Amino acid sequence: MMQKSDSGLSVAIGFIMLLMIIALIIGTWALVGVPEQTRNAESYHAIGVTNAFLDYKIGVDDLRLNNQSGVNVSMLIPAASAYSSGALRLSGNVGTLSIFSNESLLLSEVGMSRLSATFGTTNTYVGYEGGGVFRSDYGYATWVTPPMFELDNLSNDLYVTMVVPRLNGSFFVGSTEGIPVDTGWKNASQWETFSTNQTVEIRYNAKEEWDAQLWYTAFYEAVEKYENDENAGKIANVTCTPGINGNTASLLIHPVSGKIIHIHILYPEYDVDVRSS
Amino acid sequence: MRKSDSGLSEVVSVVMILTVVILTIVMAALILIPIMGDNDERVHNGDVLLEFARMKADVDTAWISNNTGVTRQAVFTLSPAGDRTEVTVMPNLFSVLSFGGVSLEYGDPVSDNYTKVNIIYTAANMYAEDVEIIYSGGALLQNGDEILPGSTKDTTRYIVVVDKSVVKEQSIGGTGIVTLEYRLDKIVQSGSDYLCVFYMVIR
Repeated sequence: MMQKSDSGLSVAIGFIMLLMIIALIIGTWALVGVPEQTRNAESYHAIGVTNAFLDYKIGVDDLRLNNQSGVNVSMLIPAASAYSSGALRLSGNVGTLSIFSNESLLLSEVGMSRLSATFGTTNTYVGYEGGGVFRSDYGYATWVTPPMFELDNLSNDLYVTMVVPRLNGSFFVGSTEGIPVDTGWKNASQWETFSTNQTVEIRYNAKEEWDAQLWYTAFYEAVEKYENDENAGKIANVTCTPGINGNTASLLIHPVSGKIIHIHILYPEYDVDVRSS
Repeated sequence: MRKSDSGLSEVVSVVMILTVVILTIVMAALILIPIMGDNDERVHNGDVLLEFARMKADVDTAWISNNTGVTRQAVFTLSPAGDRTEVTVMPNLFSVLSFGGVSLEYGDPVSDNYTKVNIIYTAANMYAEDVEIIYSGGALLQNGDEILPGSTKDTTRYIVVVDKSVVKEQSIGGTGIVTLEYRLDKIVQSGSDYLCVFYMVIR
């Protein structure tokens, strides 16, 4: 009599198959699940850092608007996440602002300050610059809230208003926790001039190309806002043209006849420091 | 002679599989779960500190801009179960074992009616260090160390206070979230200090 064989269903093969299925599940989780969860956590953290900078902007703006000199706004910037350390940097001169009238210099090379955090890879920045909050990823930056730069039509004259905060101090600190920052408003100085019948060029020369792109966006959006203002409307015979060339973003304001361009720049000055505790 | 395969018998295999399964469970219980729990709780400790720091910044903003009459909110997560920033194998299955509490207490009295306000978070962690985060009249402390200072201007202090006849002491514990509602009522001068009088309630 022929013996029936069930070797294809042996316990050893079944055991190995079970082990393979378990290994497959663990492998899939490690390759797909963990990176996805980490990415989600990092995205959530980046939103937290961005929100902290928005709070920072509101805090320092409030100090200036309410004339609160001598009072510090103390905040914790959550640069580090659970998975990576972070760093906070204050740079006093990340670019320079100049204003020309028919090629002659009206305002020479004012330095732009930036408080920024970087975390995870050093390719992501969130920061405060020119009164706005930006986020930069791998060389592509965007404003979360725009800088304080406006064009307005007042009685058919063009007014250019800009706030350029000066952040005094210099540091580059890394941490695996939140980084406490103290900011106190000192004073604000104002610079103003006007130009009649002459082409005015506002030029921002950045150290990094993405920063120039950022300011080109700010100029472009300010022009869009001014030209589409339903109340005041656009001034006839004045053209505003934003442009970018390498590391330089510019805004060319060209009056055709008899037009006055007023320029107001406010420089609030802040002392910024990280606390050692 | 007959060939024997008794070494591969079903009984031996089942026992081996059971042994591997039990070993895996024991390893997870002894090593993996404590590591995950410790990680969850450490992350949560940091997150609560950040939640308190945001609340402090927002309270400061309210009195700096003299923004009276506007009710604002801050949310505190009491345990890692309510937290959204951790990576977990079995999401929050074990982290619900830890919990925390937030209480609103009177601090040092500064005048007959007004007293410094203390908002205190106390963690009851399973694995990581227990932390106590205190917001006291404008300053932020963790385990007794000052993380963020209260606001001063030369010798003048800006102190966040509550009116004892209006604001009651409260305490809420658990694993969910606690919401603090606060509203600047007025700023009054007391000697060389300014008292920022807030209405506060936790829910």
